[in-house]
Amino acid sequence: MDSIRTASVYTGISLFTALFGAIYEHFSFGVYSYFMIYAFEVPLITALLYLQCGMFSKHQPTALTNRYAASAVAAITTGMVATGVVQLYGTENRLLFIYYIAGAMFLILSVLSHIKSTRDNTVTSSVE
Amino acid sequence: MKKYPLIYGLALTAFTAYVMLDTFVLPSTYGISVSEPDLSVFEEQDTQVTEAVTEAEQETDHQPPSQSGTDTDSSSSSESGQSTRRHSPADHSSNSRPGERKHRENESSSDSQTDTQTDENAAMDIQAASADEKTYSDENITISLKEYRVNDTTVYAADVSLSSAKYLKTALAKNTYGKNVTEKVSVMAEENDALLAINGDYYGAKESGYVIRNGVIYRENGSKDTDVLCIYTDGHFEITDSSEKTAQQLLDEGVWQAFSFGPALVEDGEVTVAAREEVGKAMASNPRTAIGIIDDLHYVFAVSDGRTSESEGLSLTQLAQFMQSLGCTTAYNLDGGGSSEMVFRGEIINNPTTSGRTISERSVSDIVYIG
Repeated sequence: MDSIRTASVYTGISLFTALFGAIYEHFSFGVYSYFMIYAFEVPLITALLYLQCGMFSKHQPTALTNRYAASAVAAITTGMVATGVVQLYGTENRLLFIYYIAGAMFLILSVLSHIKSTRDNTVTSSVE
Repeated sequence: MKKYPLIYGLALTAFTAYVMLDTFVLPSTYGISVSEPDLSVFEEQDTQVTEAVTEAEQETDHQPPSQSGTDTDSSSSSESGQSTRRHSPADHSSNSRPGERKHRENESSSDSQTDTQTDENAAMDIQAASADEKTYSDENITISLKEYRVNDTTVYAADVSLSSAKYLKTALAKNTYGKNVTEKVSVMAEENDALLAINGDYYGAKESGYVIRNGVIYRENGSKDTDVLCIYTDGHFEITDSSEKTAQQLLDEGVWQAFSFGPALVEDGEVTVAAREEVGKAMASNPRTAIGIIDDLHYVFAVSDGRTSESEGLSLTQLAQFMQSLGCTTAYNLDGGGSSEMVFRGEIINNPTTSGRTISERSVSDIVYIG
């Protein structure tokens, strides 16, 4: 149930991001950015993963895994929106890559954390 | 750990705020001093022109009186290198480079182009919006400003003829090279005694792309997939990109100005933008700025209005077609939108606007001017 609740939260974030991007693009005088358009997909994919976990997986993500995943989604989604804003203005900024580096790091940490917790649960089950 | 989401959220917000400030607000200069335009590169050309004029005058003096009348014909005067209107260093074909010879080959078709321009104008629905013409003329510079109505948009085109490319200059905002260093076009035009000025390529908004101004390299790192407009000291235009030549190579070859915005609109007299640009960007109607060359030292500076009820704006394709209709063999797109502005003898000619609701100048990084 926690995973399904988390999935609905990410779905809400995805809808908000999509709406923000659509409104921003509307006032951009015909200029568009793929980063802004597709920023909603990051929380949406995360929502689908949590939904899959909640419905079909025996091992639910731990709090630490959830924290890392949330950090990754926040960094990457914010980075894509910021990149879109910068691109729509017709400029660029080298600092934007930091979002994606941080997001990738947290994503890797969340995957490793989930794998570790899954193995720990498996060992505990076998011991019992 | 309980405070982790709060701390992370604050850190992400602070970083995002800094990135936005760094992108749009915080000025940073790059420590490159901006000097007065170095016109010594034109001294050799001016000397050659003076020698050619002197030779022509001597030939005239030595010819019998019965033949002197033919020397005033425009065709014979151009062959001798003497021009009643302008001194053109590009008339010296022995000094021409491949790009220049390629450009001059296009001149032979200029007459036929003129014949087809009327048909093209009709097809594009270009109308002279006003019979009033603002002009300026002296022995080195001739400017004629006209207003057109193109696709529900007012376009201002300045026809410029020069005796030397040294009168086609650029200026940086606050005479400083840097990011987020901006100034209004009218202010820069006044500070540089510009007769005619348009906004440039807003180099400060980018972190890459060649910047060569008045014969000085300010940025050497090129931008991928960006057309570079090179204006040479003999006045001819070439479109290139950073993969072909380095900035230093361009400077060594005689590039006087280099802009990195684009795309190229017209090359060899043909519209090129529609075939190479994404449909969305090419189709969006906006205020536009463009610069083009018709023939030797004969240019067009064009600025269109847009985003208002009076003027919808032009797409890149429409802009390219307009420049082609004026006879441009090469034309290049500069920064548009709220940056588009033309100033002629201290007067703002177009209606610069960002949102379309208010008419106001936007501060930009640089200008291209005649003066």
